[in-house]
Amino acid sequence: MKLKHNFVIRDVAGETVAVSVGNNAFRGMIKLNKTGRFVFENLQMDTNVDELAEKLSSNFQITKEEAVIKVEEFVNSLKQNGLVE
Amino acid sequence: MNRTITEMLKTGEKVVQTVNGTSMWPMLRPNKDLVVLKRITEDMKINDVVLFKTASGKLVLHRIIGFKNGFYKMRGDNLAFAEKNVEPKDVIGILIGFYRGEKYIDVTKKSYKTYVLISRLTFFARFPFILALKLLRKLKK
Repeated sequence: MKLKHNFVIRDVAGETVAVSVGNNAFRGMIKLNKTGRFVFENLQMDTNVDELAEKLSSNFQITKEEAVIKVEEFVNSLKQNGLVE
Repeated sequence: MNRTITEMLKTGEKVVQTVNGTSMWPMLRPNKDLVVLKRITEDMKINDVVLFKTASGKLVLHRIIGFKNGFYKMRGDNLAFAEKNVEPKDVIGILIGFYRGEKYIDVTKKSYKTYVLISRLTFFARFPFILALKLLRKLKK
C-alpha cells in the first residue's frame, strides 16, 4: 500500500501538515503528529502495516504491538478518506 | 475529522492549501505553491491577499485593490478586471505567507512588499497582455 496522491509536508506555526499538490481529487490538508509524520512519509513508497510498525517501533521506542495499533488506526483513517491504495 | 476551509478559519485554525487557478500567477503557481491563511482578526488593508466568498458560494483568493463606501474591490494579480462590491462579511481569511516551492515567504517581509508594489505599478503596462491571453483562452474553448 502507498499514498494515492502527491503530498508535501510542511511545518507551519508549530504544526506539521501534509498538503496534496498536483491535480488531485483530494484537495485538503492533514495535520500530523510526530508518529503520523513518520508513517505518512514512509507511505510515500509502497509498504505494508508490518513493515511500517517495525520501523515505527525502532524509531519511537514503542513495542511492536503498540506500533501495529497506531499504524492500523492511522492507515484506516487514510483509507476511509480514499488516500491510500 | 473532516472540516471545510471556512470551518477551520472560523475556529481560528490556520489553513495550508494549494491554489487552483492562475489568477494570482506569477506569485502563486496552481497546484504547486502553498498558501497559509488565517482568520481575519484586524482591519484589512489595500494590497492584502484575502479569501472571500463570491455570490455563487465559490471561494476566491485575490488582492484588495480598493475600498469604497464599505465595499472592497478585489483583483487577482493576473486578471484584467476587478470584482467590485465585495462585502467585508464575505471575506473569511487573509494570506499570512506562502511557500513558493520549498521557500516560505512571509507577507510582512520587505522583499514581498516591494514585489507587490512593482506588480501594482506595472499593472497598466501588463494589462494588454493579460487581456490578450484571456481572449486567447476564450478562443481555445
